[in-house]
Amino acid sequence: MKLNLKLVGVRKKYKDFYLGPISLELEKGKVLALIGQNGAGKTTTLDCISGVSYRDEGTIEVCGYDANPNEKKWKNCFGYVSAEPVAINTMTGTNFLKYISKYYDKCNYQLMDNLIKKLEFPINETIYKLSTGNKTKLEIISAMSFCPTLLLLDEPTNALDPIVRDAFLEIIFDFMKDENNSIIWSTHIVSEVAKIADDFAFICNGVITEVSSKIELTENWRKILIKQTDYLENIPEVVELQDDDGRIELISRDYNATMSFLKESKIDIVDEYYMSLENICLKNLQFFKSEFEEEDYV
Amino acid sequence: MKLELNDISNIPLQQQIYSKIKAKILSGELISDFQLPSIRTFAIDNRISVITVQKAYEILEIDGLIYSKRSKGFFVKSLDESVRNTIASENLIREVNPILKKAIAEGLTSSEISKIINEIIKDFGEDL
Repeated sequence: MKLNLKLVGVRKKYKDFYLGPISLELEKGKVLALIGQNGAGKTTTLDCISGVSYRDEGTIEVCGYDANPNEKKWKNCFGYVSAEPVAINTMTGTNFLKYISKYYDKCNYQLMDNLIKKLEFPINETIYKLSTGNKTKLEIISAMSFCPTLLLLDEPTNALDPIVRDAFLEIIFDFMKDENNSIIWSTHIVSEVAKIADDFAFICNGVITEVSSKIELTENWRKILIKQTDYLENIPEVVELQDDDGRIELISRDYNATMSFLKESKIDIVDEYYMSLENICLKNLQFFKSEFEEEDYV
Repeated sequence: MKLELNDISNIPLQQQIYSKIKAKILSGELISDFQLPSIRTFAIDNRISVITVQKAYEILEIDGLIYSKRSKGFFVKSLDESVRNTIASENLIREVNPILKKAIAEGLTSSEISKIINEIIKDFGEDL
């Protein structure tokens, strides 16, 4: 079994929102960043994987087990840090962790203590009195302490202060030292996943529009500066054009395709630059968004 | 092996790793047949993803700077003086190119530029 997660044709209707069909695979040892706008379907996807809501169609397997409330093994395979932290609760952190431990086969108490220390979590405070940041910490502790192989993170750092966020990133790197583990990490903040993520999935209007490795993205996307030409409209794979006093700045999503056209057409190339992953992700989201808008228009 | 990597730079991490290791090989800091850390160890030491290190090693191997032994890992290739020289010259040309372009745009003539460069080299004195 090389996969920690497999989704095939997953669909879910939630109020006016349609998710899917989503098909996605995540190998052991890999971190997948899920990038999309608010309302694109990131949380609904994670909710379906974790069983917070049940899919209408399709199959979901976590570590080979069907994502199904009756399948106890499935529940033991993953931990979920949701964007909406734990509901109002009159228990203390200690009692909450004791309570939920009944639902899992294994608990790594050493890791649990470690997380409580590293995240500076006030374990004896009643949950409803906790700040949002502290509720997130409790989510992290409960998601990671029961020996999951897959972590589902939904904008986990939103409410964390910079020091705790840094501690959290360390914790995540430690988790990934085990080659069997995987993470699916939904976020708006590309910079925080830029180092750890292997692959990037882009989600727009309820569907996954692209899954690419970080290497593909950083090598394929390029800014190219050329001299003015009549063939601007024909240059392939260009997502943005900017006229800068007779020099044209292109943003290409396929460097090789764009370059071979430029060379064949004998267009003067002045310079070329790599782009930051952050910028690449932004341009890619804008690109897919405009594609969807064109479709609607037609 | 811990490298100083800039994660807010536009240069992809795999390219940064490639350049840093290449520089270490050319300067002789990494000697021939030195074993590089495994991909996984390197990734953990530098807190980056495995795929990034894989790619960096791959391009180092394609460029003939390192070699791999099946199930043993990656090693620094021995470079003869002429190859080392060629690579160093290519590096110099690539890096000096934009600087010279800028100097010319700012109005310096080629003889003025040559003069400046010669003076800088003279200042290095016995280091050369």
